[in-house]
Amino acid sequence: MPVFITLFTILCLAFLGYHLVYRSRGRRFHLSGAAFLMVGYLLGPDLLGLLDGETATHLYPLSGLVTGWVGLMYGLQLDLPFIKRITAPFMISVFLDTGLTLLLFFAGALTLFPLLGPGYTLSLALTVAATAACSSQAALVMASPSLKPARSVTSLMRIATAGSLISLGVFATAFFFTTPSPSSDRLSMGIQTNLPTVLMTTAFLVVLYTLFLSERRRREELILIVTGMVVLTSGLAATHHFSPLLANGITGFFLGNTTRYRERILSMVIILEKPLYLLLLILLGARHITFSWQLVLTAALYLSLRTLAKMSGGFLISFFHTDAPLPKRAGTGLMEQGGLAMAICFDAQHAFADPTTHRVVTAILLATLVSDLAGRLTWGDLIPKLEKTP
Amino acid sequence: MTTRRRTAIVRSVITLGMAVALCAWSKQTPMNSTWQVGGGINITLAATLLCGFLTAGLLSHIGIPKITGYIVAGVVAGPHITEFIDFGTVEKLQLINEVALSFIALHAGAALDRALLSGRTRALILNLVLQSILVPLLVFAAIMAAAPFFSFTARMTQPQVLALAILSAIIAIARSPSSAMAIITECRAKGPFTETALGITVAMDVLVIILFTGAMAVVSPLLGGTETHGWHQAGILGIELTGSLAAGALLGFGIRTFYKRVAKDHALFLLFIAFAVTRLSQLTGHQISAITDLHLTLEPLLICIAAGFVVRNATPFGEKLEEDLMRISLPIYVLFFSVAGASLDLAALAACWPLALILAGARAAGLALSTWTAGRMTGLPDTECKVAWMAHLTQAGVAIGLTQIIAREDPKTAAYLTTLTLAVITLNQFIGPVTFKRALILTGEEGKDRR
Repeated sequence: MPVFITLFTILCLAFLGYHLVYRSRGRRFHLSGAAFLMVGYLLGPDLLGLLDGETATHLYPLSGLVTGWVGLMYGLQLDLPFIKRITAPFMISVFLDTGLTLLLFFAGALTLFPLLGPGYTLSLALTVAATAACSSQAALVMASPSLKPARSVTSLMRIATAGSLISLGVFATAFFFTTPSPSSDRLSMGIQTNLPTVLMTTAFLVVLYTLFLSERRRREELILIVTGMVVLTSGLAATHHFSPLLANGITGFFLGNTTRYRERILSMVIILEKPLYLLLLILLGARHITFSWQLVLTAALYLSLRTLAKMSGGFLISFFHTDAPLPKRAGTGLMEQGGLAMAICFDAQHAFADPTTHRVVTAILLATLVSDLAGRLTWGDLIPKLEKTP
Repeated sequence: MTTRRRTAIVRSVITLGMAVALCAWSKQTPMNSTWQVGGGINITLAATLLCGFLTAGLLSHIGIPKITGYIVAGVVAGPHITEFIDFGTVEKLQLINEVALSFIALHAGAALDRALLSGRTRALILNLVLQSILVPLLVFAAIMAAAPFFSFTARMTQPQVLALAILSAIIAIARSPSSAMAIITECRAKGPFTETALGITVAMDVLVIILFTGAMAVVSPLLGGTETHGWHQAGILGIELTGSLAAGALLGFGIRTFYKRVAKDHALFLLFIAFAVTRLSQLTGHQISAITDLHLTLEPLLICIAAGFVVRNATPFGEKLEEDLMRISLPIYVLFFSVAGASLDLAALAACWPLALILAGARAAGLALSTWTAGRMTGLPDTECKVAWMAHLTQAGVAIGLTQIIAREDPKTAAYLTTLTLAVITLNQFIGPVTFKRALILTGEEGKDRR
């Protein structure tokens, strides 16, 4: 499409979006991350062409930065005292929600993906399961009517956090099966060769962070250092065929638990979290899409299977979770995908790059778009209402 | 030297050593997939950022400006010395570098406060007039006088030498708004001298294009073309200039609307603007070429300078824009100047350094004479008259772009001109920041910006 027509279209859509979100009566529309996936698509190779394939290659460092940033933030937030506080009923609830979704998706994906064509079947099945199991914590915060979230919402947030960590673990295992036809001893080989490298590099990176941060620095310098270190960690991970998201997550975990710089880095990381997350969505949305019934079917299947898994998980949690009373339809609150799921998709499309991965990630994005847009209109005020009748 | 300072230096050296060791180790990994190659680019970029930052910190202990430190780190890591950043990687980092340049240009435009400049309008105009007469005159004379003595120019025909002298003379007035802005930001400088220096630098970058359009018309017959063809090229450059400034003004009002309606996420928006301007300039250039058969490209640097200037002087959001740009500027400056260091053509410098040295000397003399005369005629303080030339030595950006236009006319002369221009830029990029910082210290405007 000619540049000028596409630009005009984007301006019109931006104008329309602005009026629907900020100026419409009753303000039923909300600005969500999904909108930025659309922005990415508009800028991508199919329409404006600002973010075409070649440009994306030149923007690799930016890709490493956005996924790495999400990973670092998760790693830093995972402090050991939080893990020590975990109770048995809480763990059961987490496994009911996340475990159920993981199992359903892993089995489904293993059955379905060979039909889509040859590729990284096992890695992709694990990735899709990990993506589906992730739930957004930010969405739960927004669902709470007051500034201080209700106890049930806090419990769901903790379940979502723990579930996301398990998802990250599952995603990590996907990197042990990166050859298109993995041999039986690939896992043990991978652990023997990759694990020591990952641990040694992590230790080196933590020392480097410590050396940088041992001096008092201005905020602009801190931004530069953390940006450089995140991109470096992402680059090291990619050259060793490992996930930048996970590599930064692991570094963040050790950095947060072995040094005294957690708060200093975290406060700075959080400042740039939102812009970088939106950038991640734009980069993820900028893709070539061939619309077909297969794609729509995969997206519909993903959406319905996830809804089923999350709703059933939520239903079971309401019986077993004892920390706080939860509504029977608690699964509704765990439906939104969140940033981590998008970061996993972003990482996977680079790590397991092939046409099948591209199609599957596109289907996940379509499903996310639908669930996000529909979800904001329905469950935005659902949890507070149910809160009254547990 | 205090113990604390010594400890900081030792710590920086250890950190630099460790970062270099880690990056060197990572380079040993065989790259088989596109993703791994992408990872390699990430490592290069991160190393450029971190090592540039550390090198600049170390060199600042001996009074060298940080921007020179970034450039030195880039040169050392670049394809001419250690080859950590090879030619291919420099090419791959070009888009990010261009986005960074657009961002810096936006910053330069936003820093130009008309209110501060208004008291010095006469000095500004006089400087522009004198510099655009005296600098080209001295450079032209120097090249014509020195040409017969160098093997570099001895191979050229008389018309080619004449064309080279005219074009080099015009290009000599080009400046580097990015370098000037980086020094001002680093020194946290504020005041009439700083504003005048920045104003002249930015205006000169616009003026050089106008003068170049005229020079093209004169030079075209010398290079075997016709005068009509020369005026045709000049016309295109004129359209580019006007189009870029108009697009910039429009963008400025767009930024104003965003600031008015949206109170957050300005950092992301500004980065997007820099990216969009860079890419859209390329895309519209291609589309116009396809439709009209004209080589017409909008200049991102001018668009962003104009946009920043409009926001600063025609809307109430100038201060806010400058603050937002300042907040995320450090990584962008380090990245831009380190990659610029890696891109510096040391081979060109080696090929014609004596002539480049003469040209740089003539340029500096022209600047000194014009700034001193302008200062005296407008009654500026004595110190300013003496040191003003030091603020104008940096040179880059537009100068290289202009040499590419000659390549369409006469590739042979363009090759000589490019080599000579790159050699002079290399010299000025090393010396310019040091002298500019010194000038800011001497005028007492260093550290006056308390934001």
